[in-house]
Amino acid sequence: MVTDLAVQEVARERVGIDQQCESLRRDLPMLIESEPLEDGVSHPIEQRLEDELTNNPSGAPEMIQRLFDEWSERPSFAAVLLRCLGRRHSSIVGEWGLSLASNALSHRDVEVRDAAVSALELWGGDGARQALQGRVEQEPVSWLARYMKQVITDLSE
Amino acid sequence: MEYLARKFTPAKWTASKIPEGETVSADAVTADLRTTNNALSTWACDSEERDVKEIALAFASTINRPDKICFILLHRPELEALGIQVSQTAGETRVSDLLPRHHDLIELGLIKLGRLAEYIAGLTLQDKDCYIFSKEQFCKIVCDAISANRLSLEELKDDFKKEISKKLSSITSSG
Repeated sequence: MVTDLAVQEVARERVGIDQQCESLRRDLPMLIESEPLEDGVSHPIEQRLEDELTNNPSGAPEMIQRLFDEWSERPSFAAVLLRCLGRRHSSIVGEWGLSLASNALSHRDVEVRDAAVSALELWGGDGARQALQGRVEQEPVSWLARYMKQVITDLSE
Repeated sequence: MEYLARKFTPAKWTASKIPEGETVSADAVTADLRTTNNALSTWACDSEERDVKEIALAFASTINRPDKICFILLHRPELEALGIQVSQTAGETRVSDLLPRHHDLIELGLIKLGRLAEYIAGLTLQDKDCYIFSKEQFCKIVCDAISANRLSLEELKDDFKKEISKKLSSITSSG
């Protein structure tokens, strides 16, 4: 009986995550297309992510990771998602965010890798520095490798 | 000053983003070459990093959150060779000694914009005249300008103001 209730609870949670994921999947491309993301300028997606992370701290990470993976074939969307996530405080994003950005450093698309470096730069900390140090020598694009080196230096000070 | 700096997004100009058979990605053009009145805003500078930092400072009062900032330097004789005209115009910055540096690339149409885009794509491909200042570098540039009374903290916006305020406090307490 208890097991049945637990299964039902998990199933309800999954439906909730699926619905929210669908809502983000629908809304984020519109927000990205209506307002391009610029360095140093806030973007409406940031608030949307903050709301998801605050109101649904257990489901939001999975939802964001799922969207990020789905957008692997639409890397400009994945990059904006990661840039905006990087603009949320590290305490909200936590270890899963660090893991997402660290893995994104080896993404095939340069925009996504750039977004990962930016996110790690904004969160800072030893984990971010170590992730960058582990990848900088393999980065094939020269300006991005230079930026990574600078961030490593900044985070080491 | 031989160069005009334009804020840009290097990732969008990188070779791997360009569709096969094309010379520039459309995303790069729509993101970084959005014109108003057929003109594009640029800032005059020399090619030394020290001087490009001055251009970063010009943007301090227009951004609202701490971030990296990237510039591509356009060589004036190259622009002239592309048929692109330059005009000194009023720019948006609170750093008054930088105001005379603002210039617009004017009378731009699709042909000239295309030439400019190909020029920028070529520079990015060679990683030439491309400057990236990390968030920390950018914040330091702004803190130094505030310490030198070229800019006031009150002229900054939102989260950027908070970040700079924190950094200035830590400089004061450690100094």
